[in-house]
Amino acid sequence: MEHIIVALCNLFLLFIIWRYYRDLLEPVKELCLIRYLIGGAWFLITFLSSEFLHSEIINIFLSVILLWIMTVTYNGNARRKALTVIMVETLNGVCDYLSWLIFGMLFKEGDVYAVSYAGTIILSFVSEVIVRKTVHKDKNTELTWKEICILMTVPMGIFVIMYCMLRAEVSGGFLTIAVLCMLVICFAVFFLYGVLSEEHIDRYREQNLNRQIDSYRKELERIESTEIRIEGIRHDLKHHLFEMGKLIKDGKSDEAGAYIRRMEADMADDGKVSHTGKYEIDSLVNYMIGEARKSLSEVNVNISIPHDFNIESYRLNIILGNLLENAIEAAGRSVEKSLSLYVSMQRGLLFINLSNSYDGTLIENKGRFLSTKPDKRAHGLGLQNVKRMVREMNGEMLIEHDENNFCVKIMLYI
Amino acid sequence: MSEYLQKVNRGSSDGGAEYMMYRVAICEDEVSTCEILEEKIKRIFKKMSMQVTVDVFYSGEAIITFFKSKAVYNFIFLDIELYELNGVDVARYIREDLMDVMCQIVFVSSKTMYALELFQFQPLDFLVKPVENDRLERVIKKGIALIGLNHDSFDCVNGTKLIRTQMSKILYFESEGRKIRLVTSEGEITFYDRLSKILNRLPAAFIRTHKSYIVNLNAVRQCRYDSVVLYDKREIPISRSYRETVRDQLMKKMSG
Repeated sequence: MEHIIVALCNLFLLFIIWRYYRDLLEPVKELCLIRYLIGGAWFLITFLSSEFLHSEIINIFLSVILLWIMTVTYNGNARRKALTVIMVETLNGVCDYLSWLIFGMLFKEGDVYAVSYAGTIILSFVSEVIVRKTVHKDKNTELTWKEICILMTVPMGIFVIMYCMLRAEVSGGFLTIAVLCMLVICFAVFFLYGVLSEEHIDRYREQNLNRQIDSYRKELERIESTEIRIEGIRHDLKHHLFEMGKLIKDGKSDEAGAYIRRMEADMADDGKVSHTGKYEIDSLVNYMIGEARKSLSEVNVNISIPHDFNIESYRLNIILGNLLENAIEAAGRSVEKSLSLYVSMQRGLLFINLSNSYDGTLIENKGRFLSTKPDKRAHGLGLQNVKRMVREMNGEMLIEHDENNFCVKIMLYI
Repeated sequence: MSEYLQKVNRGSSDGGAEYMMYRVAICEDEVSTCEILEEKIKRIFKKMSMQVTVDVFYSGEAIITFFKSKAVYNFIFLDIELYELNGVDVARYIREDLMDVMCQIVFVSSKTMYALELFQFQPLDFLVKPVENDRLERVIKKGIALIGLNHDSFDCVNGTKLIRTQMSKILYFESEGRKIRLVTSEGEITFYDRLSKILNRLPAAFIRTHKSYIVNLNAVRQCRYDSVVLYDKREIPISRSYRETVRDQLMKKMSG
């Protein structure tokens, strides 16, 4: 029975190792099958080695070799991979030692080995969550520390139960079944946490996608409306030319001028503020500024960027979309209700300068600006996501504010 | 040349006060646009009590021929779409052949979409025809402010000679120990000093990118994460220890 617990623990440990690797390295999707095969080999070899060779050193050696081989299915330089392998082995070792300290030294008799191995796995789950939270500290899509503390009550509770069972000298089949069930519960809880975390990211992406689709739809409507107007003018061009010719012939140059100006206005006034030719940017900015103009009294926009520059439109849209959403919302709650957006390109750098009036209410926590909206968790994501995205692009972000104006400046390399 | 070149050196002066005489060129093949733009520019300068001369060229070839006679302009309003040599060719000539990084180029076009190629020449702005007065005034004021920042000169001693170099012509400083190479658009000067002391004497347009380099931002065509590329295609490195500082400075100086 002990072998079953050890085998299951090894399987869970493999799952934890994969999670560590995903936190620290980037998996190559195409090598997924090879990753599973190497993982399977790791499981088999370490299990057999611990069961038959009973040598800690050989076990560690074999584990390190196989973990190193597994890194070929991940992106990253050799140094990063080596550090990852060392870190994973070290953390597993520390968890093992701690668990042995708690169970092995407290209880000399009983099924301590299997229980302490189960304890190792539970501590490893906890360790992985902490590593993940630390590595992705800027990603607000992860749980907060408060939520992690609540999550920790599950493994801690399991520890207490195992301790009580050993004290009550529960042994044999009942102990094994209990330990197995607790391991499975622990695994299920942490697996669910991972799934919920991913869903949260997906929901956020979906939100961005919906906004993008909405902005495309509005842009298409606007284009269609402009085309109809231009088509109307084209269709009547002959008539317009005749009318203008008649006015000029009759010496009515002022009226001819006014006629021409009316035609110009018809063609020029398409409500567009962004016409860079970069469709994804134009549609988003035109859509959002269009919405801004409904609720704000002063909106200034000046966008001067080429249509063919090489920057990932998806990321730029997330940056602009999030910033504009926050700025429009904050300006709407202020007295002045003003917003200014300047986007320019100089010397291979893209600059975004967005300033808005606001009501002076700011919640700042360790350099982070949190949303003042009721659903802080969903909306406070915006500025943090922008910051993360800017950092990923090796760019720079600066926030300046006084009691009336809030300004975000961003610089990106193109 | 006279076929293409008209109305050269007609001045517009308020008389009396001694201000810098700004030299403006308009390069546009539509005569009516030239006239309207010229009139607007003179009106704006007069409103600011500043002196200006406006030269008008109807083709890219004409303005380049004039440049070859050592003409220098503070502002050039350049139509992107010209016959034969277009605005891009003229801009390239100004920045790369003449190495004039201080001339404020303003592209004028009936279009609103611009290619990346145009941005390489660091235009001051883009104006859409018909040019609006407010926008033109803002552009001119912005250009004047930038020109004003670069009128100083840098003095250094080479042996017993005092050499004075216009800041606008300096591309970068490079140090090899205490020996400093001052590289300009016209050549090089060598003298002895420390880069840190030199930096204190330079205006804000100069930034230190490396323990051995100080670069004039105005001479930079493109900023990359780990280097800057000048108009003469030279690449100056940004060392790892300076990257964060350079990013901060670029952000503060250029983000507006």
